[in-house]
Amino acid sequence: MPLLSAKKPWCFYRLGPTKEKGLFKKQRDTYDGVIVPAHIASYFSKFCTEFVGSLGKPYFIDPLTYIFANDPSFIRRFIKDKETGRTIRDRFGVKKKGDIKRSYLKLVEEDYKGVVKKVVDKNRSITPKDFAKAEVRKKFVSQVISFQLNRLSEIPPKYKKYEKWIPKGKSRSKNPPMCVVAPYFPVTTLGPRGWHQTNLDFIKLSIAQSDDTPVFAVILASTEILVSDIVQIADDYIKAGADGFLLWPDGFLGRKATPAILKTVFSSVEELSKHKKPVMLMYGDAYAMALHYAGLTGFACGICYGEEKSSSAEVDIEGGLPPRYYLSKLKKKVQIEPETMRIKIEQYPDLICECSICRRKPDPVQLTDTESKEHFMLARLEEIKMLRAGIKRGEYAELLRAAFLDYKDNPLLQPVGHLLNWADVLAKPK
Amino acid sequence: MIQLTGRDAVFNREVDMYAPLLALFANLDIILAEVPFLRKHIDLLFASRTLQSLCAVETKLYDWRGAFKQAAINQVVAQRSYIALPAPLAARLCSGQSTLFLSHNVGLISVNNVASVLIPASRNDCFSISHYRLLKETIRNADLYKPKRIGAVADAITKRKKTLVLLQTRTY
Repeated sequence: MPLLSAKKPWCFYRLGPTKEKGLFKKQRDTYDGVIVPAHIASYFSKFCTEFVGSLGKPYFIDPLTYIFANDPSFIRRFIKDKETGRTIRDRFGVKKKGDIKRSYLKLVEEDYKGVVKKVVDKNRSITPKDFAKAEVRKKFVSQVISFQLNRLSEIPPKYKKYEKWIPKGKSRSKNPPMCVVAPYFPVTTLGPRGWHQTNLDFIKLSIAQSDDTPVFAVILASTEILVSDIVQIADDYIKAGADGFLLWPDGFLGRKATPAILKTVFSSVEELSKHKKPVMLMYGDAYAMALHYAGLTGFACGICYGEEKSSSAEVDIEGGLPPRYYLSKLKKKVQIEPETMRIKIEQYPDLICECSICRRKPDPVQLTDTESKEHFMLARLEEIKMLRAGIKRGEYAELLRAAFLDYKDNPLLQPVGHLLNWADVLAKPK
Repeated sequence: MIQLTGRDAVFNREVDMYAPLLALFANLDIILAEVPFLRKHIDLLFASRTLQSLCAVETKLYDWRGAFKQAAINQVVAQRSYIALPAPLAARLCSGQSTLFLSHNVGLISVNNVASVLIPASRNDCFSISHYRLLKETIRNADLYKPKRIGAVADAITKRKKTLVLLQTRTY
């Protein structure tokens, strides 16, 4: 599948472990593509193949190779109490770990194999030294790229019988990803002891093995590294032949970032976009829409969750995420219970959403988890349409600033300071 | 630990304000700390033995806006909801932000060596009877727990093990 022809910014949603298949299908016109995490593509390969095949949307697989550079316990499951669902702790209050998660086990044993399996078996982290030998690098990249190209590319047999109805020339026997992602690890230094040189080798090897599918390179780095080294990283990645960038400022969340960090990410996107290649944010909240003015091509997140991620933070979900309601004007979410029970949206006419879900159920308290996610997808689409219609940078900054001024004194809707910070970033002349 | 500097008490932790607050609501039989409520925790909850009337208190040393938001949310389950702040901050808010408190029916308590109500809380239309019943159920189950001293509560909060604890009253 060629790179997207949709207008910028592209909106991608990550496929999560929750039951969202129906949502992806029902609201398929509200987004541009899907990212499937490698462990989900591996463990639920039949489901994912059928899912991306029937969706007919661009997709790609996030190879998640960075996870093996973390502490080896990261891929082990937390032991849960069967009755309460809570994680069991030892007498020092530390959460107990069990075996390797089955999804990662399958990815390691059946897909990545080789050096990844070796380090997982030895219960240690992978290091750049493990890739000292050229043949190890080549084998590893070959496994990762081949997995991305082939794992979900088959059209499910049940759809083949409909092929005769497809107009000539549009028939497709395969559903390849729109791009492959070179294996990646976090950049902590550009020196020989870090992952930078290895990442560059991975990009070159990926291009050699990608069968003309565009190769995207992930820049996973802290904002401190981005400040000092983004120019060098971008130049090196371009020289290595990357067809696009996936920017992942480690642990960055636009809503909580300081003005200095917001500016760092903004100028990093500006720097990357100078190379005339697509630049996508791997995890992004509504600040990604401000980054549109820095040249951002697209961004990804889960449906109403997963807008930030720290590569070295362990995620342990005890119980499901509480349903949240997205307030488009304030670019933030509030918990349906109890926050919207107290806020009373009907008292704020400019916060009332006009999407089909909210017209049917104007009181957010009445929304189910699925409905609140549908509302998020529809509201996000409207935000993207505004950018695609060509709203000027200054006008967008003024909208953010006006929203801040309208709600800065409302104690129930705090915090809204991010709106002013974003407006300030946009207000600075290029 | 309460430190006395001149006339005002200085509080290092929110739990240091609990003792004066317990004295303020000494007429209510049940006192609970860190009460779970829809993924939030109410700092202190005071109730009569019959649980007919609940009074929630959010304590904060500095971030009064955060406490105010939480106190407003507590109105979903408690008939009266207060924020408790160190006396100098509470006095400043009482003179400068009283309209905000009155318009949202949130009460304000000033905490020094003794605690006093500066702005009384009142009930509003956000009260949800179904959530109130759920909370009552939680409180009834709390009877199973052995009352804890304030020190034990402080320790639990410091260790971030937030669990429902029945505070032992009249320990001072």
